[in-house]
Amino acid sequence: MTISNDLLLSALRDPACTVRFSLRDWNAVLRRARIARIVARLAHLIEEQGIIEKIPERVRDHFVAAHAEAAQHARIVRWEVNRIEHALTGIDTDVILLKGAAYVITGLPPARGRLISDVDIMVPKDRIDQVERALIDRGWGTMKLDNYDQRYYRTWMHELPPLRHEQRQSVLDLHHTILPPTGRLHPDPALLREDAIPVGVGRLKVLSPTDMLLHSAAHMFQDGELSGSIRDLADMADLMKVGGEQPGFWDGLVDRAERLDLARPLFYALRFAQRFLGADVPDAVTRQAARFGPAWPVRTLMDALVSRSVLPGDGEKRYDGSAGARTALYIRSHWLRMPPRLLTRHLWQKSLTSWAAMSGKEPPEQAA
Amino acid sequence: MTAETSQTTKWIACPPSELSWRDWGDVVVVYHHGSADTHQLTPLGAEAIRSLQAAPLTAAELRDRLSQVFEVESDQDLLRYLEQLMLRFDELGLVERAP
Amino acid sequence: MSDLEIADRLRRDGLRLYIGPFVTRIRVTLPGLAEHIRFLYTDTPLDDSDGLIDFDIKLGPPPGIRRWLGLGATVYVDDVMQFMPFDPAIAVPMFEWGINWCVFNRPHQYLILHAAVLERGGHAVIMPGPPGSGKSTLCAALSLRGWRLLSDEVAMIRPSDRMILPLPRPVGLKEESIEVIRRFEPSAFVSRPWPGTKKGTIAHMRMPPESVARAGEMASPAWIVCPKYTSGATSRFEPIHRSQAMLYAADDAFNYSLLARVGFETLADVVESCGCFEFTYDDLDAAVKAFDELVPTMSTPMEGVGA
Repeated sequence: MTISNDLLLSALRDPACTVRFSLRDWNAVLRRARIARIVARLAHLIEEQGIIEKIPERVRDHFVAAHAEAAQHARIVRWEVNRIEHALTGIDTDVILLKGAAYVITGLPPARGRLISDVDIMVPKDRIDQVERALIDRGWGTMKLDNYDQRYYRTWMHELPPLRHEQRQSVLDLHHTILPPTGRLHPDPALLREDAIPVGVGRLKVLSPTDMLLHSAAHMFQDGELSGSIRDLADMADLMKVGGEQPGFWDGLVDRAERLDLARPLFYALRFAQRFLGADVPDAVTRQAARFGPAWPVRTLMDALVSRSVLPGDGEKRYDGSAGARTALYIRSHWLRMPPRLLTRHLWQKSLTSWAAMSGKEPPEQAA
Repeated sequence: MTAETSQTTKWIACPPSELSWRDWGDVVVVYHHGSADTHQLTPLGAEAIRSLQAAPLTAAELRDRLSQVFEVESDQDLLRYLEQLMLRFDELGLVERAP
Repeated sequence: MSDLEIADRLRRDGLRLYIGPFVTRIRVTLPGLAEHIRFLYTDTPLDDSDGLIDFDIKLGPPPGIRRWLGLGATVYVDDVMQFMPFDPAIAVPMFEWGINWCVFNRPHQYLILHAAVLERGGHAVIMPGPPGSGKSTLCAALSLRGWRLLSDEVAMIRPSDRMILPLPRPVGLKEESIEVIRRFEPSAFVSRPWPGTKKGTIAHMRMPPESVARAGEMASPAWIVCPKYTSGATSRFEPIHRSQAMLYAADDAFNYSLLARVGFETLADVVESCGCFEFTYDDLDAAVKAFDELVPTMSTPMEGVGA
């Protein structure tokens, strides 16, 4: 599978081309879009072109189902945000919505058809304990983690252990900054807060369009998991597009990235959003960002890793090449986030825990 | 719950567009769009919400109104019941404190 | 097609079955399963058009090192492993649960309740029932006595007109009910039992041919009946309040809350158009008789309390 003949990428780059898809093509595209969790997004892109009538009815059924699921996710996020505001009544702090919640509340393009598994918010570090207590008072609880994981989060992470609402079962990640303090990159949360933009009349804010893009880049290229990351790349391409419509967005982008210590992730975001999704980046910006790219061996390695990870595998390929690529990326992102000695310890613990969890886990309960 | 309430707290219900109703006699089923929760209410609970959609009221004012509608005594028991009901509805997002 | 041909297609491009409105592609790369799948789906029409696949199911060895060690089997949906690896000896029930997984989690264009559905004279009965209620046994018995089986597992309701779509699939029978159905109707096509699943011993009853032949015929909901198997009880319908029926149906639904307002309005309409009952029973013959007696009055559906 290469970039140029990948039907899913073609559909994301140029939704109008889907009218030429055969049902056989659709089988491949829908399967991979499902794995990447972007069926509803694809449906939106096609609808925006006004060509939905030209799509086979049986494919449209899948779009209807995907829209229903995405609408539920958006509704849950809106309600969770509503309940978080409710719980924090009387606490003097701004709350910055991050990632999916920010997209949904502002209605930015990455919100279209999005599936969201948890809500991420950021508060100042000196308020985080107070906020956590207020949430716990209102029905959230700290998820059961073993002592190792608790310590790991509280000592080394940029967020507290996830909170889960006991009745609604929703998961909330409470951050004080966007990257783990143990990593090599240290974006200053005070700078992010300075530029944050209020939404509505309350205390809620979102990052500026520039910082949203940088956060998404930091998330994909320095932090966390990389599977299904075509979605994240599509987010960034969307943010580049809407950001680019605002005066000054491109001019200030690389400088801002440098100031936030996020120039390298930005380099990757620009590179791969252009390569995979045909994002329209001014040449001057590409050149400016190129200064922050890695030397060629790393660049070649990243190109290969991201290519295999971004194009969700077809069939069992998921379990050979790209699974290997994902593991490599997982190790890599932990490597970047933690000093080497800690890395060994964390991976060791992680694999023990997951193995134990896996062997004890029953298959999903199915009604007979 | 930590929520405090006082005699002067006025309550207001979420707007009519947020709720869908089915009135099935002695049970009223209401669907709340925000939370996507379905609640079964007594006719008194349902009327409480409808009253608070019309205008913000304190628990005592609500008691006076409901005791007229349902022709029951306007006593302390009903007041305490409604105060508890408001706290419960507040948690569910059906009512909130009026600004 | 011979078992050999079926096995060959299962191993290669897969068999595509019309299961109700869904084209389901089935691939099996474990040996010895073709005859069992053929037994259950012998009347089910095949799609040879190379058209759209709605559910793509594969039964095969688990990925990674377990494959090379020859350990276990698993179910893939869209080539993604869906269940933790299991003993290949229970591959058939796990395969059926794989199809269930798709039906429960995918077609959100419909409201999907966890209930058996049967139809007679154009009127459908929706039977929600938790495990132990005897829902599947009663459903199998009715389907062997003139009631058309739409599904023993899901009531799939189209929100635009509140009609129920058939999804003819084998009826899952558990433990004692396997023998109960064999005795009730010796000519029923009941598979061999598969012991050792999470739900104990499971067997499947092939759906009656009429059920498959009329898979395109929707039915309009007329009753909601919550069955309650009670040892020694005489068959009896007890009217229940609409709100109670709604609670039963919503509580156990797969996508009632996902569909949000559409789910609420659809289900509330269905409940309003149905007679709502609880049904206690023990003897299956008597139960079938009681159901049959519902029907003549059904040109105007019976009304439950609160109607």
